[in-house]
Amino acid sequence: MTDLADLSLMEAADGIQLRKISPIDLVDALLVKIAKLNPVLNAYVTVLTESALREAHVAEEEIAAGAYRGPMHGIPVSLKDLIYTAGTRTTAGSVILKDFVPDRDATVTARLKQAGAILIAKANMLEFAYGEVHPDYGPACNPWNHGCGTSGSSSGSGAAVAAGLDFGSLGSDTGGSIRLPAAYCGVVGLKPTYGLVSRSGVVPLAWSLDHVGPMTRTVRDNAIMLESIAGYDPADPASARVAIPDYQQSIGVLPGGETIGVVEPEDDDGVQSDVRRETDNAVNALEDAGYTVIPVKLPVPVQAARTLLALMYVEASTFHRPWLDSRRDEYSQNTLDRLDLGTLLPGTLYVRAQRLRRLIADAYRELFSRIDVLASPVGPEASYRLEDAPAQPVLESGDRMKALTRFTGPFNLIGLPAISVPCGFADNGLPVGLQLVAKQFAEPALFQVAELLERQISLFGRPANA
Amino acid sequence: MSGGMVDPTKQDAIGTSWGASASLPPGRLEELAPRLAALLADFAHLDTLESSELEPLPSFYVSHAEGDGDD
Repeated sequence: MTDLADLSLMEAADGIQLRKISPIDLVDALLVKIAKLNPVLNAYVTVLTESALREAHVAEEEIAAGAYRGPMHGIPVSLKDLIYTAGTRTTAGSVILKDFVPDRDATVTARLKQAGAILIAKANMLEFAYGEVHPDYGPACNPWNHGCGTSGSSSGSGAAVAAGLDFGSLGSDTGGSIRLPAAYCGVVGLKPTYGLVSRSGVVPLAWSLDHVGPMTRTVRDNAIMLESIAGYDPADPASARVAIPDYQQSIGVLPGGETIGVVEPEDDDGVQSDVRRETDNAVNALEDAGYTVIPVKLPVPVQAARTLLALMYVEASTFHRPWLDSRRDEYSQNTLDRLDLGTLLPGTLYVRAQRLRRLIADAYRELFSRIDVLASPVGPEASYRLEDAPAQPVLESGDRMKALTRFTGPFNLIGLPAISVPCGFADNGLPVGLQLVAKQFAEPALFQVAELLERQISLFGRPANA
Repeated sequence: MSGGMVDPTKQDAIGTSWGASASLPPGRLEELAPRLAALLADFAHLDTLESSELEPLPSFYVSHAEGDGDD
């Protein structure tokens, strides 16, 4: 019999709806797996054993009484630990917030609960989502190779979903922090359109760049989870008043004349040859499936990465300013360095970056007048050895995040939806992701292409050692 | 909120937890100076984009391409 923890979210949901699977059994199975693997993976910082079991009993009773709420009902999920959970600590991977217990849920937490989901854990993450591991928490390990990293900043979410410790996790993404760990861990990660998913009750990194989105093992699971959290929220000033479609409806729809623009290699893109080989194979699979594929160039990728960083530095240091006065000793050194540097950047730089942001958005608007979906690698490499010491954040060439966010960062700047979908394995045996990007609020188009790719490549599976 | 802590997502609100203006401890600016210089040097390249690669037409620009007699 298949281990309950090996099911996809949709399979578990179908079983729950038909009353062939009990939410209590699901939670029990996951807790056994968490007890075995979390000490190795360090994916979770808080495991909610008692409340998860309590919620599972409630879900089971509701469903038995005929009050089935939908596909998230009775499904155990985790949250990146910067998403508020009333009565449960929310650390943001930091010492400063190590004992912070919110008295309210984030909007996304409340929506998941409303949909009947069971919160099983809070996931490890980089300190304040700002690119560095705080030594008090330590890094999450990659389930495909425990000596390798997950990328970040939604590091624990990526590891947990890949290892089958939950059926989905919410992450946050300011420059690639959902898509990069999704790619490194071989799971599906969506950064939705800016404004589609509320950030109210989510510890910010940079207000104008932050997004919250789902990480799951399959594309369909991602669509299910997105549908449970998307929608207008007056508590988030950037929230958009848009109708929320049935995100599963586009899945399985055959190509109908859509054009995919494929980012051409460039001398300075840093993409390793084995990563390029796998993303090329994925694009070939999409072409074989019936999409028209044309080569395109990313508009000013290096400048976009600089623009992103200029905004991120200043916004992050603005948020952290009170603690930079009073609690600076509690940051890790690299995070403190970035935050201090951000306080020293001139206001003129921030304004210039905001102007450039509009120009970059115009360039992408022109690009998307010729294509329906853009395809590129997610990152330049497939994971890294954890034993490699972290470098200082700023090198002679600028912030080291600049190279990592070449493909992901532009879509935080301009708010377009982007998904990372597993597409193969690098020579080191670690997963590689393909990024797909669509027009504003065109998440259904992303799910359509991503799910087709998933079927063409048939990679859905669990790491052998998880 | 526990530990007497304000809601972090509200800490930029006027009158909540903004104290005196942030200042770096003695010697910190000197310590950061080389990396600040590297960062500013990299950000200086943004001028290139602004001036030549993606300069938009100003909103008050009027095209004379059709010949409107002003010349």
